[in-house]
Amino acid sequence: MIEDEGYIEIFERYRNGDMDTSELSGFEARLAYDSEFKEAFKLYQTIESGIKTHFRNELKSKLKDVDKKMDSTPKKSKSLKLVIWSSSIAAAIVLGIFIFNHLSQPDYQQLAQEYWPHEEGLPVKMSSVGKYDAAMNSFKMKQYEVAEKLLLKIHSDTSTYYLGIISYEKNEHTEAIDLFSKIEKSSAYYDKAQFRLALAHLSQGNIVKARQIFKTISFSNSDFSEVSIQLLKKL
Amino acid sequence: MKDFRPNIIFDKLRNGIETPLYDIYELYRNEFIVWSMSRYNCSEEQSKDAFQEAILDFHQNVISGQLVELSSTIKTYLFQIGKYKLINIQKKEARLTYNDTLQLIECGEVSQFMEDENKNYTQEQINNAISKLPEDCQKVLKLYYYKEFDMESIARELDYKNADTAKSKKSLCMKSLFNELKKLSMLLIL
Repeated sequence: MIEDEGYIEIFERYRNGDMDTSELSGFEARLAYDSEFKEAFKLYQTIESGIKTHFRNELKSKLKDVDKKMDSTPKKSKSLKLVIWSSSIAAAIVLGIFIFNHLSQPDYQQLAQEYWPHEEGLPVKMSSVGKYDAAMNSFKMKQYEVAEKLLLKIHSDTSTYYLGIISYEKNEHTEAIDLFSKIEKSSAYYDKAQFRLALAHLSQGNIVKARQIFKTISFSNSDFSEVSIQLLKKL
Repeated sequence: MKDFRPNIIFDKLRNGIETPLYDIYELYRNEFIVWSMSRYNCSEEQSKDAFQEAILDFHQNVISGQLVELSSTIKTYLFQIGKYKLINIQKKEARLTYNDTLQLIECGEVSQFMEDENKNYTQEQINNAISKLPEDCQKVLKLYYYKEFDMESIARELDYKNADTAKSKKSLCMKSLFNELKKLSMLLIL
């Protein structure tokens, strides 16, 4: 039995790295020829992994406690909900009439511009020549016509993405929408392109379409989900 | 106010503080449930389970030093792990259904499997044995095996004289654990 043979002490010395070279090679040799010793060491390792699992499960049960806390938030009664809904609807109508009468339509183009992320462009290395280098140099210097010509010669999701940005910067929003829409889900640019696509729709005044895309982004794990929620609140 | 900056969270976790895990879980759980249920046709329970597993893996990766900095947000990282956890849970559950059927068909093989299992201690026996250990032993084992503290850090955390004291304490605790396991298996035989 593992606990009767002083094995634990040996395994502890091995685990703590307390063995010198000769003791260590003796230990490893014994594992090879002494099957009982080998079995005992296997058991020791199983217990070690069992300890780890025990404490992992302990932490998981604490997360389940968080679940209980979150799920037990008192639910409002139906009648109370109805009162809240009716009051909210009434308030919304009054607010709507106020906005309609007193304020002009929000400037969606300005809102889109406010949230339009700055794109640094791809890095251009001095040590090597990359296929996007010339286009990126022009892009970074805002020489969009030159960059566009160079990017049009390359057929890739990278060039489509940058061409989309260039079109947007040139106020060619329909063209930008078309380009961002072409970027497929598998592309590394997909999340960025979807966010820009929604902004391009917004600047065109296509609120329904913009909202729809922001909503999809907000439910995704995109880096733009938080900002999409912010924008949805503003629309 | 809760601080969700990754470097602050990483520091806390590395120092053995677990509260950021509960805060992150609370912050993103519902969003993960909505996201995963709409994409992977899973139940709410499966989704919660997957997200809990993702949080635990994130914790383990930080404290083991495998995750030093993030190239994305914590949320993106967790959703990615959660996605794979969910797929595994669904696969596992499908496999279990298959194995249930298999048990009915191949009773011989199953009983052989059960015999092999009995040569080791079950997780339940290990859990019981750990819960019977004195509190300081449970702390030492948790710090060493789960939080991956070295002996010096254990000594600092538990106010022991030095790393050697922590080492001796851990050996004693392991011996006590094996004794508890032995007692439990004796009880089973009786």
